[in-house]
Amino acid sequence: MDERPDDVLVEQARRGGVEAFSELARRHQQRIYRLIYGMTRNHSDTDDLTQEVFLTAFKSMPGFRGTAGFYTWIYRIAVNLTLNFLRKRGREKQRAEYHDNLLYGEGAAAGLPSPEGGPVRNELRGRIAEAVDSLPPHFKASFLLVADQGMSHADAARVLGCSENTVSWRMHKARKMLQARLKPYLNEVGP
Amino acid sequence: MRCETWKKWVSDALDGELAGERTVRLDRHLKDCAGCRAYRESLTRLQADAEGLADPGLAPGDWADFSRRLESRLGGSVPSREVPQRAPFFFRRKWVWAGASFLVLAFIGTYFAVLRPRGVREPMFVSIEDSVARVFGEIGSNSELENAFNQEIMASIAEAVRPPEDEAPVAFDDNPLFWEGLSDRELAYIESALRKERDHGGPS
Repeated sequence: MDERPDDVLVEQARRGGVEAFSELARRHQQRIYRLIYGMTRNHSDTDDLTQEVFLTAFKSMPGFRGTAGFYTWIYRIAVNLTLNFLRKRGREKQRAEYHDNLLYGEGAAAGLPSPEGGPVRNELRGRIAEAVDSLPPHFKASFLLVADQGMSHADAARVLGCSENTVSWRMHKARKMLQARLKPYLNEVGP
Repeated sequence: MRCETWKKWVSDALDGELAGERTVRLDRHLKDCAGCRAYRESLTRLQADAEGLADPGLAPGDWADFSRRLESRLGGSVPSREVPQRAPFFFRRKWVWAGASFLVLAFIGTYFAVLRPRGVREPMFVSIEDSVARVFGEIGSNSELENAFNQEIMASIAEAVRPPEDEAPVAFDDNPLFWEGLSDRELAYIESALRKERDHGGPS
């Protein structure tokens, strides 16, 4: 196991050290992959995006000044690339839904099914995943960084390039949206 | 404080971002407010069920494969070795724009001051003589208009030379005020003079 601290590896990677950068990537790849997977819910897209994040970071290493930590910097690249990807995918999805509606009529691309018929607790996670997926991209990113990755509001703010207060409000709004969307299921399953 | 604010505090508390004194106040509020209590319970349940939601569930072999693929791509990718150098001072973008703007303004100024072709200028004011001569010229070119104009002029002259009616000679004895202003003695004198004149065959 490589014992060199991140700072040393970053310095070597800045000088073009592939091996040093590979070690940095190994240390952070799981968390980056998990973040991107949380946002895309798709392994193929996540794999491509995670590779893209590290390749972009490697190419930009000489310009990395180290004012933010490597950890924050790589997260920021990941969030930006994923948000761009989601924006693009959203446009394509809207286009596809529009064509579906033209072909099969309104309601072909309907949202969640009715809770009637009793989804049970093991189904609730699927509902939560769908609800998280339906959050606006910036809210989703904040929610995953804080609630899933366990980041503080301050760290998430550095990654997202906004204020701590903004992260706090996004968390509050995201939770309200999730709670409103999942209310029927949460009541049904019970404590 | 509104429940909306308390609910935001509930969210902050779940993230471990609520300061000590506020936690105490929130706990106190939750004891009294069933709505906020239910909200916190649903969020807590949501948080627990969302645990590990983003776990991609990859096996260690998958991570090793991922690393191998990344390393092979990194090997073929050359980082941009040089940090982009800043252009020399006067070739930086803002100075280039400033220079270009100066040149454009200088050209416009020079054009209006020196280079602009100057045509024959129309006088801005026309003298009265010139304007009257132009009117007469227009009238003279049309005989019908000229006749009408001459008639109008002659009528104006005739009107100007005719003495006003109030200046025509008026006999003083036609004025009734004259007679009213005379005394009895003067009237008697005039009466005797007129009688004498009639007796001598004068005008009656």
